[in-house]
Amino acid sequence: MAGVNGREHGTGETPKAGAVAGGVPSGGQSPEGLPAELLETERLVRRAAARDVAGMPAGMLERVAGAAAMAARTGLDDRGPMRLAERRGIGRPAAGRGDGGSRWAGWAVAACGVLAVGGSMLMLRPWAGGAGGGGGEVVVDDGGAAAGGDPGDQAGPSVIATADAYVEELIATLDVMDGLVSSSGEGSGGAGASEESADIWSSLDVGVSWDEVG
Amino acid sequence: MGEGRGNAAGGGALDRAMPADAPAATARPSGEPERVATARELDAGPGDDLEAVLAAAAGGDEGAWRELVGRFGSRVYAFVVSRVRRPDVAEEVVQSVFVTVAVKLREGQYTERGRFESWLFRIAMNRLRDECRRLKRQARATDPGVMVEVMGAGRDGRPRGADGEGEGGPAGSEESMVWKLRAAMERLTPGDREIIELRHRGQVGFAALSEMLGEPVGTLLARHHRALKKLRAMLESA
Repeated sequence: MAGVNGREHGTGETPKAGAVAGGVPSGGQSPEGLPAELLETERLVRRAAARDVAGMPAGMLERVAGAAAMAARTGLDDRGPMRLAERRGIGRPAAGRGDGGSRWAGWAVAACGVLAVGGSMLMLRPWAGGAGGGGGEVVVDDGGAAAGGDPGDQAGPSVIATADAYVEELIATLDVMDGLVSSSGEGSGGAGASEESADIWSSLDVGVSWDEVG
Repeated sequence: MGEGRGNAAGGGALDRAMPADAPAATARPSGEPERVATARELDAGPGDDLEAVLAAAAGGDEGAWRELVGRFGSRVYAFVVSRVRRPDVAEEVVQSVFVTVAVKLREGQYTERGRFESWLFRIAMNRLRDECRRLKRQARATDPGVMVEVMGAGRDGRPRGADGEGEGGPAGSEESMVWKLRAAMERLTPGDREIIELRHRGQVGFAALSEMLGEPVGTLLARHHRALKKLRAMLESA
């Protein structure tokens, strides 16, 4: 029966320190009984894999863990936003490199799971750990009603339960965000470019300034 | 299900070769990556607390997810990146795999107690196939910038391999061998490639492979042997 890390239960195997380096026990036959020449090939495949893993994006495992934890808590998967962002021409969500008005939405879709769009506020929560890990909800205030509120307190009841509703809310959110970003002070999100929002934004390490966004 | 060949199944030392939570390889002066097992990998024994971790993860516990992704994330990444090549795309796929796992755990769809590894890699395999189909649909003439990103730049700044330049370094070097290996892997049949990638990149044990692919362990051992032989022949003729 398979155990963790690919080991099998009850094999009785005790790895020797020297057997670890290079990924294959040195000399002789492999555990699969492979002859020496195939062992070399096997080693090469494993070395190539190790090189790839060494080039893994920095912080990836943390981001993945954050996204998975969020998904487990909310039941929302992250493919809806990806598909939607692509359909809307925002670009690859993970890149978050859209231009102009799309940039913010692109980043938001990339980094956040949209948990709630309610009343006078837009509430986002970092999805993939891109913006402060678990506690850094982003609140975009469109009129000040929610200013000073605790995003964490308000996100819970507004979590969207079904995939369909989620996508609908997401579309609405992107519409609002596009409007907010492109209006530069007018339209539905005009007041969103408030000092407070700017402060919240600037506290996030997203690599894009508030001025660029707005 | 018995493996019939001692530790052929999980690989033990083999599976400790790729650290789960630390840089998996550091370059030796010779250029050959040196892999060092993490203490956690060496310490975590079979039959440890995986099911407890999964239960906590199902409830959204961040610590449990860090543990789970720490144990399996690098292996899933190594498996995925061999096909999609680009680390950023591979990260997306890996995230999607674990998010799918999360949603299924939350909904109680993980019913294969003790078979998490095969379940996880089955999800990864399906997700990777989806991504490969998507990439194929979007395939277009690759611009030189992307080629440089994927292949590395030659001495003249062009992608390696352009007009014979580069080819991954001097003949016989590690880089050159890896380059040839990638090319040879592309030429394998999908089935041969899959078993090599799952076994050596995903470090999936043969018992788990048997559960995943629905084939007896003996058949898989033979398939694996044949696939490696073909790969070897291709490398020799390259």
